Amino acid sequence: MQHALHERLTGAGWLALGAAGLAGGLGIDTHRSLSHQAFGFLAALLLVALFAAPFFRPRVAAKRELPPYATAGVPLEYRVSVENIGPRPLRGATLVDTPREPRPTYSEWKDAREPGEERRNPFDRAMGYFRWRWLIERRTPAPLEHVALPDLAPGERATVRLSLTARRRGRLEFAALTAARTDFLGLARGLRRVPAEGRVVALPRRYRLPEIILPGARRYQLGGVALASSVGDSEEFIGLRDYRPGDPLHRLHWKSIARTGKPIVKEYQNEFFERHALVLDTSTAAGEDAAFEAAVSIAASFVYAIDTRECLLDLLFVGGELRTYTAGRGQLRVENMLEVLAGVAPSPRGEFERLARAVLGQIQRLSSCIVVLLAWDEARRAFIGGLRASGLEVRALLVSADQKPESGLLIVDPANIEAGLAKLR
Amino acid sequence: MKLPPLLLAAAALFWGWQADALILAAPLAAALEAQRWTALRFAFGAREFSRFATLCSVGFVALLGWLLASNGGSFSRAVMSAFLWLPAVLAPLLLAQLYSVEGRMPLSALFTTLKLMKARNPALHDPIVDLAAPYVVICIVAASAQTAHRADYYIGAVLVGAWALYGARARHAPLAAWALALGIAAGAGFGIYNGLHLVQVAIEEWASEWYSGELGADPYRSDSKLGSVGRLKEIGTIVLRVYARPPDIGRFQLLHRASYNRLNGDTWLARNAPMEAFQPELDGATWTLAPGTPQWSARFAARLESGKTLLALPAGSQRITGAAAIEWRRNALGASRVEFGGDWAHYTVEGGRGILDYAAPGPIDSSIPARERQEFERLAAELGLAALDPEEALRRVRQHFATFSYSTYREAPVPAGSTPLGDFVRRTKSGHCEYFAGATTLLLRAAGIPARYATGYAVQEYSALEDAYIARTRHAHAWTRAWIGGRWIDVDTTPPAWFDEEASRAPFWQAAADVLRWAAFRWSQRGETRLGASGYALIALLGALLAWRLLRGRRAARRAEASAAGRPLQGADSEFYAVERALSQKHVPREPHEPLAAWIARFGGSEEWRRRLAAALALHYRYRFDPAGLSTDERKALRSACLSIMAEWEP
Repeated sequence: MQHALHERLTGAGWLALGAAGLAGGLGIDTHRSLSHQAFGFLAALLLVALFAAPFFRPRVAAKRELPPYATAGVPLEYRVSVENIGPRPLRGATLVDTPREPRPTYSEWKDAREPGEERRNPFDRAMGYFRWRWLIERRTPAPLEHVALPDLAPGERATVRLSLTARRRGRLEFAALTAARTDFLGLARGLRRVPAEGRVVALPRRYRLPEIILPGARRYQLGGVALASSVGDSEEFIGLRDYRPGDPLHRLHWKSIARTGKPIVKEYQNEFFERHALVLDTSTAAGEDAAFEAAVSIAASFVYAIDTRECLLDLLFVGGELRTYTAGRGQLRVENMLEVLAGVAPSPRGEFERLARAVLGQIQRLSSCIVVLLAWDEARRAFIGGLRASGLEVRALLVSADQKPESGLLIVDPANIEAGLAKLR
Repeated sequence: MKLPPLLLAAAALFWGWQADALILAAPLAAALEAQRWTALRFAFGAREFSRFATLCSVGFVALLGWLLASNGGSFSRAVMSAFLWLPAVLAPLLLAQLYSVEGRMPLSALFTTLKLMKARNPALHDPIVDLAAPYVVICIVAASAQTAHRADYYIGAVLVGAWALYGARARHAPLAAWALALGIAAGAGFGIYNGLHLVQVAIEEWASEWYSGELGADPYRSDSKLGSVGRLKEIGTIVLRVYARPPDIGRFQLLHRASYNRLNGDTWLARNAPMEAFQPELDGATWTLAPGTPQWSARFAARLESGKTLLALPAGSQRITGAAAIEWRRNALGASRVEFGGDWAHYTVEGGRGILDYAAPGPIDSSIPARERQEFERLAAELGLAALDPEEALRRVRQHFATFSYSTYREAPVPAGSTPLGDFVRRTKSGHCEYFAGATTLLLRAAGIPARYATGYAVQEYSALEDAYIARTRHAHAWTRAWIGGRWIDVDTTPPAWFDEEASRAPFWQAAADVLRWAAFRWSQRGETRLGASGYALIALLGALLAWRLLRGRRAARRAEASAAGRPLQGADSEFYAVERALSQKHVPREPHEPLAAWIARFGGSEEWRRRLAAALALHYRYRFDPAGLSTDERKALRSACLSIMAEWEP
């Protein structure tokens, strides 16, 4: 009921409601004060407004044009076209976007853990109200404002711009557009829902990275350019040359040998280019707390900043199972990679070993490695050490608020990510 | 939401009118509206707004404390008065907002909780608020926390409310429809509040049978068996001081507080006599109970319970003067429940003869409850009262009760099948005043004489220390009022020895305690803390000091074109500018981005000409930018060079 009232009362209506409550409290004893008169007037105003509001519902049809991606924390503008399908001119109406029903189911609510929940007192934890609110806030953008519609004659169309800001990464779904018009007193609104589904993926927040120079050690990439743009095994034929001991026999060019009598082999251009790994450590016991979100944001910043026209970028993390996504040179595009990051969830502790083993197995292909860690323990120290020992250039970042500085490790405070990243070399 | 013009002033003046504080409200209204026409603004930030908010909350708490102290502990009344003055307390905050540069403030400036939460979580939603609209609403609601303007509050509130709503009205609303909706709401509001009032009155009537007030001071009930009066016999607190001349004291032997007309079980009730509000004369301190010319007067000082008391009045009271009462409610049976505020109430009673201000007898004053009827009718028959005329019957009743003895209050069990009063009359023939009064009332009724049961105080004790007659709690008394010969008279059948008998049970320390009571009374009469002229001057001085501290250095500089001309440009009076203007007009205009040297280079002309221009330009640059400036000769050289250039230029 609070939600219904919240939708229907205007700012002036809320003021009147608050005043009626105050007057009602003061005026309980009608002998002591005249507040019951004030209460009567205010209550009558609200009743008249609420009763009349449904008669003001505007008749409109609306269509929304949403871009596919938004970024968390950044306002996104999009257009909605509106048509007046009622018989009378429409004046003073407003439009607002309505997200899909965000309330979580019981099982979702039971299993979720709000970040920082241990800081709340036991009563709040047991009641789970804040957890419920947090779950709702994840799925809805920042509170949406009503946008005024221009005056429309019957049958006339118009286009308005709406703006939404996603609070965090993830998927936002919209169910309808709501058109509203206040009653004469201006205290309550009549609402009409126009069903219009829409969906936006909110990409993680990104931060500015300093100019980093990824090492240009081009390693041999099995498969060549063709792997970068399609599946298959082919190499580019350059020319013929003399046989050198060690060349594979299937490369002998028999026709030339027949002509010249000397062993001739075909020469292929092998593709060498850079492959960098971005390793995201997702195993944490704390759930989606600020450190985890910071780690995802840092990974997103790297994905966005590294120019993948000339190199490949592998994103590795554990999400249920080990997942690898490759961007660059015809593989995934940056937006797709960011979309993957928008959906990353924490994994249980102990999954880090799997990640470490997978990365260490691929060392030969990599030119450099960027590792974003959530904790610093023996296993992780050994991992970084192993990477460095193989001669790889490793940038290790640890997202943690309280960690003593250590050489070779860049510590980023989740509360101050930009400052931490600025120290990156 | 833009407020319509003059709304703030109207709301402030409405509040001032209703709160009888126009002296304060008029300058406030002027200050609130003046911001529209002056450019006086102060650069307030969130911290300054926080300070103003703290000032207002401290002011509110101080106001509440002061009201509590001066109202003698009546919490609800203090809270009501505090709300009545809320617009005055919040005025500094609103003035700060109106006279600030931004004209609004963040919500976290008002609530420290929000500020702390925001420090922990910077992404918290912290809206910017404008306090003007809530202030108007507060004015309207706060103005209702009084009862003096019952007749004109609603009209004023509707008018101010309509003015405010005019600003909020929907753009698409035709004026007539809006006015119609408002009119419907005003009419419905009128109906709603009258309905609420009627509902409350009905509930009060219905609840009167169960309502219990202070000991012995409740006009709706007096419990005969457990003896709300009887219980008081133990307590020696002085509750009443009567300042009267000894010859007059005969009048004041019985001071009436409340009367009851129906016995229900063991409880006397006042039926068909609802409490109604009573208004004073124009000076607010004189209350006329009954018409007539006063022949005597006496001054009373009554002790208050929570600021209220059931007024003890002698028979024949016509007028009460000097009573600065906050509220007075009385019923037809002579009970006056008055609220003074404080610990002691002073009032002067003037009166004449006879029991005035007392309803004529009705059928209820002659009815005997069923379970007592048998006993008392039998007794009346025994005494042969029916055959006698009223005065004779009364004498016979008195004689009969004179044979009874007085016994101090004690809870005694009643034999089965009998009522306490019946047992008293039949068997024990001994009891305290409540029994005597109850039995007399019923017996007189059985004799066909309308009678009522009255409670109050018996005044017989004179205190030399106080130089007044005093009534203690234990002097609470009950007697009968009978309608004989077309008028009401007091009939007290309790044996007169009761007074001395109760006095003999006083504790030995009573004399010492009396001295303390006297001292406490004198201390409480020292007068309220009156804020004299010096007090107001001090407050004004402190206020000015505070204002000076807050506003020092906050005054925003006037935005003026002259601000750019704060520091004069060095060399602004160089004549080369005139050269530039002249040559731009006549020859080649200078591009805005082009330096003077490049511009000159674009000229044609002879070598000699260009040399002169270059020399003048060099001097001009030095004049403008060289920290050492030009010497007087060089300055003159620049001037003459420029003038000659302008004179000799030929296209």
